[in-house]
Amino acid sequence: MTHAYRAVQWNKHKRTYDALIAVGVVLFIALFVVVGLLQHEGDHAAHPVTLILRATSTCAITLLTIVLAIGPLARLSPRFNPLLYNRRHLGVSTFLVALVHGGLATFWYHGFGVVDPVTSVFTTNANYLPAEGQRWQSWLHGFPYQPLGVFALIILFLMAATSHDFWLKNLSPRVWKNLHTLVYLAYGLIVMHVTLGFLQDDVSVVYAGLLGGSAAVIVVLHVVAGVRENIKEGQDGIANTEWVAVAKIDDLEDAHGKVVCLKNHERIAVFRHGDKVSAVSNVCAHQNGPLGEGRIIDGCITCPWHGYQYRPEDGQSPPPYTETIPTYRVRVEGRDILVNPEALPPGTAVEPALIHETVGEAGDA
Amino acid sequence: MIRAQRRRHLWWWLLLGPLILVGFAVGLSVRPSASATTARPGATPTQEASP
Repeated sequence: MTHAYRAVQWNKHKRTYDALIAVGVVLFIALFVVVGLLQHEGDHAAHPVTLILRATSTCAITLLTIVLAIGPLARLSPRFNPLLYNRRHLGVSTFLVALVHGGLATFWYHGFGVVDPVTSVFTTNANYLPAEGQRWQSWLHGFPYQPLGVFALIILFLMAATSHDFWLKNLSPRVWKNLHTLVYLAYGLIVMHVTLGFLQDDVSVVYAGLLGGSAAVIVVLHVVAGVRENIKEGQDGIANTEWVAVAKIDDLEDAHGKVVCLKNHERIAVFRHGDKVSAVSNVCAHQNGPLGEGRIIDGCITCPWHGYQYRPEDGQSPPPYTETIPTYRVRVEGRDILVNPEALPPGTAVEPALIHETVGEAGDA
Repeated sequence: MIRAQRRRHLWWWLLLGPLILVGFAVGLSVRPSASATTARPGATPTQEASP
């Protein structure tokens, strides 16, 4: 959380997670190179550097595909929420592997000429526009694909460099989120970098199938998750009145919440804690995680994405942290839980409704 | 704000998703056939294109 700037707050889980990523990456690249060396011998042998380039590019794309799949999977099913916890570590690993690929490719193919290697990447093939009379197929076949990879690497660098919560806080969640949305553009650039580069001369269906298949899966996952949420908001939207019955007491398990969609309003998370009921915004102040899918741990609503915590009665993070979220007035009538859909300013204290209370409002700020 | 962000996110993919898939398909379609490939065995396209 954002009490002050600190380096990554390592714990045992994070160390294990990162160790697994590192071991996985090294094993992937080593296996790729060894199998490549054994598979092609004699005249057909590929140079070890070429194999390392292919291994690092395949590894980076695999990591990026996993990173991009986690978001929509978590929106489609809360089962995948734990994968979100350290997603940024996977993202930084993606950048590091891609950096090895880009650096090695630049050095290997452009480092021995008279032109500066980085300049050479952009100028060796300057076929950015079709020559006069050139067929578009021929132009596209010879398109300078390497700069596409460079632009993608720059985006990955920006994301890796700003992945720490320090930047999230300083850039503001809105700017930070928009900046990190650029990963979609980076993904598109990488797909075209490989399609117009390596795949132009690789006639096997293996790599084309893997890249096309994974791209289709990523696109479909994101679209399905987005459409599903849109439909859900339309269907579940409860008509707005001053007080809205959002759930039955028996629907709520102790220390668990329920997400409520109200028409033209943000989602609300209603929590039961012992014999009390509280309602807060469903949106975590950290990265907009779905608080209603979290649990109450140590008396605090705990975001299922990164573990940010808020007190249910006032939407404030426990000291020394300073995050706040909007709260809602809530009351219990019989077995019904009613919420006033007007959000109160973040951090506003609201008396929780008591479950044994059957009549009357119990939540004015 | 979050509702708008969710919608923006969907629009991103409705726009970018087909673009990526069409770009990929068009990119594959301009590949020369296997028999016409002149790349030397084991070489990457980068090697062919490099000085």
